[in-house]
Amino acid sequence: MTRSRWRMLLGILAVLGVFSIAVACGDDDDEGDTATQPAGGSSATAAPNTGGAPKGTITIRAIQFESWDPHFSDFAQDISHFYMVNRGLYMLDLQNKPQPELADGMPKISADGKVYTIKLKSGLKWSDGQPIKADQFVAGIQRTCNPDIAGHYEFVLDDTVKGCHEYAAATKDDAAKKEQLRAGVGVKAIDDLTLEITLLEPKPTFTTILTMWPTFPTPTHKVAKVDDKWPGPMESVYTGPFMPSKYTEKNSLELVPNPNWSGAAKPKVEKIVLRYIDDPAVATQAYRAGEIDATVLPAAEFPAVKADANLSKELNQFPATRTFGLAFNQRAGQVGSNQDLRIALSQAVDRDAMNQVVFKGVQTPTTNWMPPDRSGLPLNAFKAEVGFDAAKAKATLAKAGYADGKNFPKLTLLLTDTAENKDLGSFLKDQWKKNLSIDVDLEFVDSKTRSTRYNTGAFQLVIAGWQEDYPDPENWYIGLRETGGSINKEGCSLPALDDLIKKAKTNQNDEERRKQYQEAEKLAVTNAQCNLPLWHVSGLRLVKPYITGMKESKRAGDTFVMGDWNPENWATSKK
Amino acid sequence: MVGYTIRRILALIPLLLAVVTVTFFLMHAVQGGPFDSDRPLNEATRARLEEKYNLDGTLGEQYVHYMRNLANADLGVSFSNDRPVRAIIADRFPVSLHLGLYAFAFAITFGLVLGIVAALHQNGRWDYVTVFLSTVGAALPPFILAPFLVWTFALKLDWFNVLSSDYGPISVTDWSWIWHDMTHLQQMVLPTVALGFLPAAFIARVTRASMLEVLRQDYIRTARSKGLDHFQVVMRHAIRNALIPVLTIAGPIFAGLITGSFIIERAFSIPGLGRSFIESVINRDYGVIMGTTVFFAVIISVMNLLVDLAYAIVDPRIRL
Repeated sequence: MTRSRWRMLLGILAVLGVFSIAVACGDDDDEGDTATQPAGGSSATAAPNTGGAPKGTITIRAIQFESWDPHFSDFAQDISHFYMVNRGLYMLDLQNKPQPELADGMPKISADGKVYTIKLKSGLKWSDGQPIKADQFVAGIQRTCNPDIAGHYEFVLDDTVKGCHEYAAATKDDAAKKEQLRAGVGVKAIDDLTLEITLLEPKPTFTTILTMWPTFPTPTHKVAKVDDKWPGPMESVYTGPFMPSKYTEKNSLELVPNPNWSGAAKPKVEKIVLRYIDDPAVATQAYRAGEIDATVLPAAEFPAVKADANLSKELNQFPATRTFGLAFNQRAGQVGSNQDLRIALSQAVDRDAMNQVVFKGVQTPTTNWMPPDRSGLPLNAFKAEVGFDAAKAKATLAKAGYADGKNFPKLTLLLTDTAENKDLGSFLKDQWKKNLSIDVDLEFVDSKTRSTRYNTGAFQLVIAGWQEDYPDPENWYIGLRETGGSINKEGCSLPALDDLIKKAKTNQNDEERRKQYQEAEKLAVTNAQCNLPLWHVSGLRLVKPYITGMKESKRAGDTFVMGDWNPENWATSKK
Repeated sequence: MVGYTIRRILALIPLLLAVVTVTFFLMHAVQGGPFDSDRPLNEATRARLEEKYNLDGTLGEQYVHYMRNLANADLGVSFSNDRPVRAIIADRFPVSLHLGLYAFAFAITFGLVLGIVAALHQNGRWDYVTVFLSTVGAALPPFILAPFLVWTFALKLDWFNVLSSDYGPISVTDWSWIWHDMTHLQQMVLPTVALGFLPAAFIARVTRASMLEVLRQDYIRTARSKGLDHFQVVMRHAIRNALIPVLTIAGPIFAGLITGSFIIERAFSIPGLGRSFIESVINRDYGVIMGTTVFFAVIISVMNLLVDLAYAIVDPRIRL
């Protein structure tokens, strides 16, 4: 009797166990196709949809946006979302040239270069069918300048559009004064289809600025006042090729074609699913399992993917517009105020070895600040001056007053505490010990602490970089390399560089202006101003072979996949 | 018991005050603020944001302001996305609760069965299996277990998914979520096992030890001498008494599981409260840090109270 009862109990448990596994392994009608799709997934593919009715679904790895308000946010993931559902007057093409999007042609610019008159295309509509009008672009620019919105990208308009700075600075003023300042911002609607923007001084890159999210129109039928909160994804209306159809915070956002999209390229897929996955390593596993169609690849997995016969064909590697290097605190009295010392430390770093040891060969070793695509200079243009040369490094350090590393002062390299930075810190420390006989201390802190110390000058040396906001050389210099510039955190100062930047800033001769920035690049790097470049970042993305239209454009927006600012070009042949 | 319950609830007030105060000052003592990034905001923008989120006063003023709002059940807003903290918790907690309930059910079932079977077969095959599994469970941290499970069961065997399902809210009036879960087991099994394995191992060890002790008690010998068969002795007399230590640990385990795990939620991309809490610490999102800490403190305190009350029900010798 006892034995039989135990057998019965175990029998019930066994049946439950088998049932659970059977259910677990059964078909899942909702997502079975996706879940069981093998990596490569070419068995169920046909010709990609390049025209006709949209078809298919593309699921990509994305990161949850922080803010849905284009006039407030500066997060890269937010910006990628914005371009999928919103568009402004102009849009950058694949060569990074601004092309009319909602505007009807390029702007008419006054002879003095200060007044831009822009016509809108007629018949433009928001996704809910309401007309898009010029005064909504006025409201958009005013909203970015609004001190109560506290837009993080206000700086692109601050010293550019007349009255924007005064309005943005009016944080303590009363409502009446703010209203007066709002009305004083140099943007007005001449009629429903005509917009006029007045600048403080000529800005050759202003049409490019008009491709950016801080200038997107405000749907005034949803955001009535300049202080009103921007609606959430399901409540807002859109000017872009897609619009949200379902949203679960931190889980996913589903996009469907906007029926009122006016652009020439019509969406080719029925649905885009942005699956929010924080950890890129998890996303890579989901990609391998066929649960998503495209993702960022973490550099640590690059060697394994490259060695994989199938995955290597799905790997896309492209130069991103981001540079990292050694940023010294150059303020008086700091160790980094010694120019020869800065150059010696740069010359002592073997960038090629660093790339192999630390980055598994992913990044592009460099001595350039601007990526070659942006500056027009060859890669590693300043190798002779600041590039790796152990003998030269020793001589430069002697010139700096520390022959053979003797009496070298205490110097601490500040890094964010990540596994990759641990390797990077160790590598650099070894290089300086080996090539200069000096000891540099390493200090690892969390990212917020590092940013605070970097921003407030509480550092000696950090690994720091720059990701461009818009594709123009000026974005690598204005504010960054000028004496007292708002983002000159190293305290660097070179009068000749200041002069060059000042001339280039308003120079309307584009060819001459770009040459001036090339000269600025030479001056900055060879004089070890602010940052001694070490590597340009490479973008790594995995894309299933049945996807077409994801094209990299070498700009900041490609956060999730290549070309995620132009999802209207994406197509899938997966059934 | 009513008086005891009221006293315990009143005792929560100074406890929560202490938790809020310590967390508030510790949080502000850490370097770096919510608006710090490599791209510093201009002064006017920063000033406006600090004013908007009441960060422009002294620390004392900020504390008083926070406590005043808290007294009105206002947990503040997130500095990242301006959402009320209460709404964030209301969105995320059901997700963690949903996963945590499954993990708890797995831990209790797996832990109790293994622990009881091991004790009944001390030094036998099942005992060794239990000891091995509970040792492995205790030794394997979730950040190793989760990728291991994914690699084995999702990538190699293709039994389960890498990404989890949408853990929607659960309800006691609308049971459709159970059907949803049953049809999405491929996406729910791995997170459940990954989260529940460590507590299951712990429960198995505690159950085994407790059962072994109870089985040696005089009243068990008396029950056997009265002619009860082994099944009746175990089910009626041994297990009930052996469960008291398990009950002690079950409360905190339950609280720990339903309040979310950053590692598991990140590993399976689950939008739960654990992930949200750690992200808020990294981002110095003071509103979310404080609100979530208060919420966690309440949940854990209430669970401890329920466990203490349950003692009195399970063991009549305990008087409250």
